[in-house]
Amino acid sequence: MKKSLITGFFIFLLTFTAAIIAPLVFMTEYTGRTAMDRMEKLAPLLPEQKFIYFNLLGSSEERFIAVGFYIFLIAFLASLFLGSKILKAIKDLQTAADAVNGGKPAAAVPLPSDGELRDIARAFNSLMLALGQKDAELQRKNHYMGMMVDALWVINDENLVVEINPAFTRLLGYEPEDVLNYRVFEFVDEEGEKILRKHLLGCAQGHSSSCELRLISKPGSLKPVTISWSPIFGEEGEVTECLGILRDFMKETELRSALKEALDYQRAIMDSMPEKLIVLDQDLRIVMANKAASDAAPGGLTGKQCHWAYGYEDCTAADCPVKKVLSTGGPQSEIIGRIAGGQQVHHEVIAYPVENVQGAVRHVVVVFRDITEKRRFEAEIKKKNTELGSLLDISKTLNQSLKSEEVFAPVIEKLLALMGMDGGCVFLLDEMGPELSLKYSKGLSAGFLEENKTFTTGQDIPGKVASTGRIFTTADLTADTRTEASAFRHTGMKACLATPMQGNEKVNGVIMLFSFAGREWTEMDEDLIGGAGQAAGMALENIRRYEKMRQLFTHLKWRRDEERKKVAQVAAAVAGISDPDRMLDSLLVILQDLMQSDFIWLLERDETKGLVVRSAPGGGISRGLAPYGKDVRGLEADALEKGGILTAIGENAEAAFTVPPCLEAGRYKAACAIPVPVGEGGGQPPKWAIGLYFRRFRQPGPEDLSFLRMMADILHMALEKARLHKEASLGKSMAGTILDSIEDGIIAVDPHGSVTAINRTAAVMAGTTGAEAMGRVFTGLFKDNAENARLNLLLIEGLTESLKGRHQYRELAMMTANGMLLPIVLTSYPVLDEGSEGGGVAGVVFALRDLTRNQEITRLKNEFVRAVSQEFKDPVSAILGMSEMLMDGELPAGKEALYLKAILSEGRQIERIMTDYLNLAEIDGGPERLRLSPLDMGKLIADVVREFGPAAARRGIGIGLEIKGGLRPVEGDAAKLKYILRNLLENAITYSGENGSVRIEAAMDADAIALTVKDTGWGIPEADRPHMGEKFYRGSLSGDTKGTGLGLSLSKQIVQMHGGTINIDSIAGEGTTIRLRLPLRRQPGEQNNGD
Amino acid sequence: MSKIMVIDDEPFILMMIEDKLKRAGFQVITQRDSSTAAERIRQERPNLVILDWIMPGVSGIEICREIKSDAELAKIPVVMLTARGQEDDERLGLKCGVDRYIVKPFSPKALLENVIEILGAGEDRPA
Repeated sequence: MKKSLITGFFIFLLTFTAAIIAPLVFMTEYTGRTAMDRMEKLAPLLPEQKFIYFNLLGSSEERFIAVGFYIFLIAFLASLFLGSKILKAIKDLQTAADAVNGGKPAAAVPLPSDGELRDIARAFNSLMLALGQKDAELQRKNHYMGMMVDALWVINDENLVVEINPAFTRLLGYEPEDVLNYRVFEFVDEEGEKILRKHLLGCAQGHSSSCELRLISKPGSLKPVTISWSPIFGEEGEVTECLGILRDFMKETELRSALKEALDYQRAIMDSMPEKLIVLDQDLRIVMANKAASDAAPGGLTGKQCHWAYGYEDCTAADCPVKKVLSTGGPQSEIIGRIAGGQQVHHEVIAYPVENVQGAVRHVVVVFRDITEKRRFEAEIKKKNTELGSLLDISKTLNQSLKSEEVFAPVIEKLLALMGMDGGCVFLLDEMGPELSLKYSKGLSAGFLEENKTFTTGQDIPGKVASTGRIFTTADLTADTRTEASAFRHTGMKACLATPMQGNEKVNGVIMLFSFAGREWTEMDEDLIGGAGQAAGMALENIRRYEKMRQLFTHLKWRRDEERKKVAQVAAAVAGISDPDRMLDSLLVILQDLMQSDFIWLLERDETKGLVVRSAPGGGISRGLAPYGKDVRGLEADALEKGGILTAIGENAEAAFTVPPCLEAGRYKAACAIPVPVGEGGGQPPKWAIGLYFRRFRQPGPEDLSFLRMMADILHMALEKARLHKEASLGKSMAGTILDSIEDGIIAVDPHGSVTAINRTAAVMAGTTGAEAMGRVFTGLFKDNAENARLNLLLIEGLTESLKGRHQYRELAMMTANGMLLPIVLTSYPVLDEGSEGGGVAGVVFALRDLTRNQEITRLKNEFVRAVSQEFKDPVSAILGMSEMLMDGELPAGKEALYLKAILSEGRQIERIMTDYLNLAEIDGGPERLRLSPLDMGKLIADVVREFGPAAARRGIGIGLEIKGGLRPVEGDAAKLKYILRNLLENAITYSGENGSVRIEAAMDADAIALTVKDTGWGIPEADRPHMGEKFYRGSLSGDTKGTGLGLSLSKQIVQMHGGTINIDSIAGEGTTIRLRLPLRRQPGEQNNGD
Repeated sequence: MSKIMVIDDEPFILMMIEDKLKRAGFQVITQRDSSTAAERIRQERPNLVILDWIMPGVSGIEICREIKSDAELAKIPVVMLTARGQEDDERLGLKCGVDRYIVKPFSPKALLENVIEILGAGEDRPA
């Protein structure tokens, strides 16, 4: 293909070259020669000219070659370009063709630009499309044919077999190559050929037909088959081929016989049915009817309309079940009732759809069933069921309800509804007497009921029924001779039934039912209502029995509850009261209340007096009284001796026990004595006994006795507890007092952190009381806030450490209940359990020491040191400065002596300060440090006043001294007393303004000297007064004055050491008066604390 | 001649300072009663004031405050001569406008040096 194409191409090229080049060359040469000839004609050309022209023109061959070569080259290049495109298009075509060969009929060729080639490609593509469609069609056909169960062959007009399917091969054993393009007659015998020809002819004329014949199968045997022939029409309506569908004749026969059998079987079944059965077609025509149906319709049913079957005149009604089956496609049923032969008969018509293969309803099977009997039976059953249901309801009501009154309403209502009656009532027979009383009624007039509420047994209908226990019925009360005298004649009712409410033991009442109309009572009615009456009677008995049980139980329960309550009260009394006498009283009151006794007491055996009253809460009898006297034995004494409870009771009870003289004789009819075991261990005989006295006869039951025993035990325990409590509280109060006297907060906890003891300081810190804090978890004691978080943490840490036997010391800040932030030291100590062998920790004691005071003292001390050092600084400054100037010799003339004097004076000032300081140290050592000697106080005072003269004069302060009478000598420490006086005077002068005055008075007052120092100074401000005399305390006015804050404090202490007193009276702005009282002789060991 | 006013309730200290300063050529006025000290300063208009802190009645610090709050007197330098040697005290003193804080016990020589340093004087001093 390619080769021929290339050859063709070269031929085209050569032809083209020849066709174009040759004329061009010849024409050029011709034109040249013509031009040369013309030139020659005009003028003869020289041979050289000619030669030149000829050379110019060249030979035609030469030209041809040259020009041809160039044209050829151009044409070659052009065609090479075009040719490559063509080649590509051809190649595409080739590829597509290969694809088609390879089984891809849908292959398409891209359309090239060249017109002709495009047309070719387009034609190719449409051809391929058609091919593809055809191919798909063929495939489908083959698929169908292959899928066909029945064998088929196709015979063309030349009687050649042109097609078979796989089923054909299966049926006859021939492969396609064995059959295709063979004459059809080669597969039949002669007879068969005849039949075949006839049918093929018919088929060729466009008729369908079928035939039975024998085909020769591949193994050579003859196979009987049925062939259905159908013509295959061509496009113009002509018959092109004949299609024959072959079926195995033998199989067909089998199937047919099976079908027949089935039909026969069906027929037999249909005929055996007692119900009429018909089969209808879509037009409601009967196509089949069973024997029962046919027998009922003489003259046959087949072909008739359905209603013939069951006597319907018309079956056009919309509710005709057959029609419904046809319209809905689902089975239908209908009950048809009609009168036949004077009787109501019922038929049930059931219609079933019979669907064909496509699911369309083609036939309807209708079954008629006579249900007349069944329906009658059903009604009966329904009635029975209703009755049973009602009875069941009644018995349910009876069983469920526990109150007899609640029972009757539903029972009567049910019975009335069940029996179709109009009224009813219930009479109950009194449990004890012969009386029947009305409990419930319905439908009877109120007037009648008002007059006939009760009957006695034997009286009227209910009385008779109750006494006989038999049902009474009457069809008409007004006409019945038996009821001539009955009150029920006036109810307006006619029919009446009265049934006894028969229980297991006896008749409990009567149920009566009435109706306005007369009524004949059947045996069944009587049975039914009698049954209901019996159920009601039995239920009533049960209810009554239950009621009794309930009452009994309620009473018992009440009694138990009471006892429990009392025991709880007792327990509460025992737990809550720490005073044993009060506790005993409460217990006895409770016991008396529970036993419903009229008098109670507790007696105690006394060695000398016999029995004495320990507690008698009733009042009137005092504790310690011996009620029986020494020689009389009481019930209590007997009980103590016996060691158990004794009771005395009787018509003449007083003879049975000796009523103590203090109780009113003749008032008490019964008594009971219970010994109370007191004291540890069982060895000791009981010493205590309770006596209970009753004003009415009372025999305590076994329950009472056991309860009393229990109470005695409780009492015993309570007394024990009280005793222990008393002992404990004694020890505890002592410990408590000690604890409370400690300034530190003390909290004791058990190993679980529950507070077991807390002193007052700690309780105040926590804002609680000792009683409140007891038993609480210790970390919850203090204000719960951020400030106390560390405290709680350290408390826990302290507990943990202490449980390990270690103590702990921590400084921290805590917030007290009143919101004060306190610096404290928290110390925790383990409390070792002496009882335990391993030295276990029984608890932890926490001590919270308020550091505020310590810190204050520290602050004051610092302040003191500072003040003292300042005090020193002035004299030291003077001494140093002056010495310096003296040494430098730069003093004004004659001033040296003055300087030296000043140095001396300042040295003394230093000494004075030091004395103060030393006095402080000395005084802290106690009164023993005093150097006592008889002193002339008058002189001592005068000396000191003189000392202050110049200082006072400088400030313009006048000092007045008055010593009244003679002062007797005082036993005292001269230096210290002088110190006091100096201090007082110094204060008076320092805290007075210019031109003030200080007045000193001294006089004897009994065995003491009374000294008063009064100034007209600034006085002591209110705020300072409570602190006056405290160590290091300096008043608010002292800010810039010299002083140690010790003077008054020291003075106070010195006076006290001398057994004297010192009082300060001051009015701010007016002045201060100090009153000092100094005894002549100090009493040994005396230290007056007054101030 | 620079005029210096010395206020102290201690007569010996007063005497000592007076003698020292006079010898150095200053005019010295002494005042023991603190309550009238401020008035005296207003009258005398000294070039420098030497003040004791702790005095009965009006304290040195109050006098200093008064001087420093009076526009006419505020420029007068104040030397506080006191036994209160704590840091807090010094801070308080300086806050009140004290120009030089000298803690007792002190050397008269050192005081004089301080005074000369403040007044820059000497020209008035006799040779």
